[in-house]
Amino acid sequence: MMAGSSSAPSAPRVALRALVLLLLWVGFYLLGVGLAGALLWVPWAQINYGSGPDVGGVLAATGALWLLWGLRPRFRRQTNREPPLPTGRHPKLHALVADVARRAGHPVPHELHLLPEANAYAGQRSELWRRGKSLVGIGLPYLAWLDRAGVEAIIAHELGHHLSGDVRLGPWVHRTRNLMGHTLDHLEGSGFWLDLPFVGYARAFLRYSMSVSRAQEVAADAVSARVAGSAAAARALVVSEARSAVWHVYLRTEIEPMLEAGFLPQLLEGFRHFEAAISEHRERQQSGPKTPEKSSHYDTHPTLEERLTALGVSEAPPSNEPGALELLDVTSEAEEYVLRSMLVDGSRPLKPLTWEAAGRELWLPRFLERIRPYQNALAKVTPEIMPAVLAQIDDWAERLRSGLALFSPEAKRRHVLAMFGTWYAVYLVNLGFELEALPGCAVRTKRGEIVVEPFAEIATLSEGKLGSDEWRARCTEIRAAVA
Amino acid sequence: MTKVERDPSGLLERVPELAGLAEKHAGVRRAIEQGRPHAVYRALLWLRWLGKAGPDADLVRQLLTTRRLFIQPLNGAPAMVTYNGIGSRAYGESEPDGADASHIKTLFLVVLFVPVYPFSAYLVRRADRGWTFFGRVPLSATCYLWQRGLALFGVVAVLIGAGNAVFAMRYNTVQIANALPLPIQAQIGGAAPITVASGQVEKLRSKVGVQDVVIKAGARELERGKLEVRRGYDVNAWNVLGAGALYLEDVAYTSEKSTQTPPTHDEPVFHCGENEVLQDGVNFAFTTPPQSISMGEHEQVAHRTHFAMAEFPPIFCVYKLSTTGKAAQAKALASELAKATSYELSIVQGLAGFFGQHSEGAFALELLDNGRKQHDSEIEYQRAYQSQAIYEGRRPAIIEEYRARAQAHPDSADDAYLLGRILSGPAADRVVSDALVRFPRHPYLLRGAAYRAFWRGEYAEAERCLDTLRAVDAHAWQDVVDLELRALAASGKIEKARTIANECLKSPNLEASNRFDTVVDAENLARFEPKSETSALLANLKGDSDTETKEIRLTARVNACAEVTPEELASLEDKRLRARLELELASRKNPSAAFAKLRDFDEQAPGITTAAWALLLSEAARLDAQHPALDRLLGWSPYGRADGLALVSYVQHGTDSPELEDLAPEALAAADYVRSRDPALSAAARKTFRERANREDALHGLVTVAMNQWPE
Repeated sequence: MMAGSSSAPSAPRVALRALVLLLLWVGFYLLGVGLAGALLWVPWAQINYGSGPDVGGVLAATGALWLLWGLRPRFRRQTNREPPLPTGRHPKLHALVADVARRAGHPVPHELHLLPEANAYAGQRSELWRRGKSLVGIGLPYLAWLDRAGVEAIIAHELGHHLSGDVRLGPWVHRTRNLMGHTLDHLEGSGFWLDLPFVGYARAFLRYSMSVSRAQEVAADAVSARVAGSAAAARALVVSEARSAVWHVYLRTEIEPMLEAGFLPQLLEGFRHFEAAISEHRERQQSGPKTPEKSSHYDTHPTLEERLTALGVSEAPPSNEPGALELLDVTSEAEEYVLRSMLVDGSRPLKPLTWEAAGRELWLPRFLERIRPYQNALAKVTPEIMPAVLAQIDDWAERLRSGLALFSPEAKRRHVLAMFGTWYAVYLVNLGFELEALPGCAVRTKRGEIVVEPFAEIATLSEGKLGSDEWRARCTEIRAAVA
Repeated sequence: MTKVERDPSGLLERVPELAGLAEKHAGVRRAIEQGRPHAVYRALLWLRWLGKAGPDADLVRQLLTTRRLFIQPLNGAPAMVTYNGIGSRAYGESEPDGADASHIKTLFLVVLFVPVYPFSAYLVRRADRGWTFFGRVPLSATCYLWQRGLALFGVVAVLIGAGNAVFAMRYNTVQIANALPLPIQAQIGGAAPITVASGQVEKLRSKVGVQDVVIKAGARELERGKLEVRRGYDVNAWNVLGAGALYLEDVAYTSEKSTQTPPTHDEPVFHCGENEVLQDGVNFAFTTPPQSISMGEHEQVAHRTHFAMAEFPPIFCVYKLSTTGKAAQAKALASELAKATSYELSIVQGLAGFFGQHSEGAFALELLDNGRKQHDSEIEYQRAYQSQAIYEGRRPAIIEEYRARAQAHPDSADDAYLLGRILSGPAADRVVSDALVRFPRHPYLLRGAAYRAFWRGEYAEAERCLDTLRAVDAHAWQDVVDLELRALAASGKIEKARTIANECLKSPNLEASNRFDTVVDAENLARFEPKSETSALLANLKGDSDTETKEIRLTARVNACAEVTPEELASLEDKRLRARLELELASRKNPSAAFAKLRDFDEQAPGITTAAWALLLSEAARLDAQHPALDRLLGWSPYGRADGLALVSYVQHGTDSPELEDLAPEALAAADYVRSRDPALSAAARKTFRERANREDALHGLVTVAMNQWPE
């Protein structure tokens, strides 16, 4: 039934869970209103049956009003609605979605969205006085990672949510969670433990709604398997599990800085670099066998193992088919489309930039900007005195601090190391080194045969893994190379 | 050892040291994963207080000294508003940072600018105007404990308040109002009995709902009933026998700034005769309303309600019921009152007097009859019964009854006296004198003998009997001091009379009515030659208030035929008393004017003097057998209608009757004077009547004054 459930729940069972969720939602209000009523009863009874409200009565009334204010519904209008993928663009993808919908037994979704994230979703856009529009979204990376059957599995999974009515229940559950969260936050702020009666209740709701969510996922997986086959469905799950988190980090750490600086990166190519670098790093880090993922009551999705088991597949068979990028008209256009969707202003001019030029064009200006406030402090620093400088790292922490004093000593030290790494990189560039910042790789400077990783080497020196003599020898080597 | 899986607030970036602590302490880890830096701080605080930090104690202590590390975003600008010193205000300047000039301020709930409750702490920096708030930081350990302590107090206060409310819902105060002249014991429901003193109201807590009520006086059960104790009601009173004058009144308060005239008070609503009195919405239940209350700025008049028991004797409720058309209830209450007090003489006499004057003579006689049966050996009960019976015209019947009683107890001085006092003429003289021979020191016989002697005109004998009575029983003598003063005046022993009056007035035990009569008599005696000073006499009369004292003294002067100015009369607040005194004054000078004044009165006897009553009744009878004033004056007869009719018959026809002997000497004097005004009589006869009247009005009071002032 919960996270450990391995079979798809029947429709009546899901409906029953939805009903229970509805009752829990009503119960939350009943609990809140009941508690407020109980608190208000105290001064009321004191006025009507006693000699007027005492301190306790006044506090109870105040608590009740505080509680009722916390229970107020909070409406937030959705202002930023992503436009759907125009039907004229990427017709093969539209056709595939229509085909999958037909096979799944669902009308063709009104809207298809192409996303920059490694994610897919099903939704319904409700409109006042009109029947809601069904929509399906699929992330661009899935088209690169999965074959056509895998993509079908993804689309079928999302349509499965439509078929089982999850898209209608989901927003409501989400709003209820928000309500509980806001209420608990508000009541905790009272300092009078008014939140305590609700904590357990909210936790129970969360657990239950999450169990429903997981059951919905398993049911959607079943639709996916029915339409695209179990093997494709399993493959889609495995690929998504293995690469989505990496993609997310890639977007945050590599793509977003590029976009912020007004550059148009090579999205899929950059990820290949990034993934390769990460894999290499992972292989160095992982020594033992991979521990199986533990399920939690608060997971929205079952674990991969549970989902595969539900599909009746022990492990996903490999695919010999190429990726499904052929569904797109032009991949680079699709890349730009999803990258612009990440911007507040999608029409903003973006300058194409290769990853090889990212060090020079993107990161070097940033590094210069970062150390500019400390130019005076760093003026007399040379690589040779770095061991002595790092010996006084706490003093340097004060000299290189910026903004409010909100950091612990260790955080300050790390800040100093990052700052010296930045300074070192700029220093080396000034010596004629070339700055390289490939996705997922450490920042490097190169001149001829000499390659220096300024951040890593400063950290190594700080940790004592590199002795002062060795450091000075390294400095001599670098100076000799540029002489 | 579990690593932190997520850090939504980015706390580990600011405080990487927490990562190690979080691995060892689940509380710290949970707080980090929940994105609650303040909870992390508190978890560290508890680690330190509970000594569970182990080898990380120094690190924990170091982190706790820097609260700003645990900063959380602001939910909004903190409100800092005070009104009359009450509101919220930020205090303190802790953890100052020299480089960025930031420091921590704590926001408090303040009362009169004194910090009471710490809400939260903020990292701030002084700006041009006020401060710039950067975020919320945890409260210091002291403030945290302070806040938690007050919060705990608040929760406990709410719980206690809820407990009180539940208690107030299940229980309520019951008031036991006892207007009886004796203490009672009241038991409500299963509660322990409580004693309620005479004239008091006691309170006890009782369960709401219908409760059994048992009222006892000692071992005697007075009443038993049911009281529905209502939750939330301000008054759940049990009015013992319904005798207490419980009332609800409006109390109006006027603003000092008000230009309105103070509102007149409505008449209170009395709950006489009701055992169970329930009232809600009462501001002051059995408590004295305050002299002043706080009112709104624009409020001119404020009304409050007050519920209490008036300090009236229980007979008040009998009066109230009777005069509001509830005669049956009034009689029932009277019966219960008499029974509850074991027919206490003053109660029974008061009740009988009231009902006697309100055309309920039979019921009055029944009360007195029951009283004498309860107190058969007590002569005053027998006297009271006899008087009422005579008033009701039952003289022959009671003469037979008391004759039989005397014959049954030939050795009883009391029975002989009781027979003698209702007989008349020689028969009465014989019974009294024979008994006095056998019982020469019997106070009542001496008193009876004195009356008989005075009636016969044997003033010396009356004086002798009364002197003996004074020696035997000074208290009993005080009841007849008026007779002795008249006897002495009739004998011309004015100085002795004055001396006795003065001595009598010095007695601290002299009853109020006797004191009043003695002062009036002394005033009259002062007009005898040689005249004496009277100014000090009135000082003997005092009421419970200045107003009452003024009324008593003015009444005494009018009764003593002293001169009273119209202004003095006009100053009286009691309109009925003023009308009564005006009638007295009119009856001195002109009977026609006095008859006209009678229109100011209703059927109820106004309490005019016997002399005035007798003068006006006699003159009305003389003028016309159908005189319109006759019937009303007969109704006002202090001796009953039979005696009044006897007086009328005497004036009109000269008829002698036993009833005449019931009358006071001045009443006979009035009748004789009026007879002297009959122009049909010879001059000699008229003179004889005047001389008799003059003699009978021994103190030369109203009759003598009228003789000199009435027009022929």
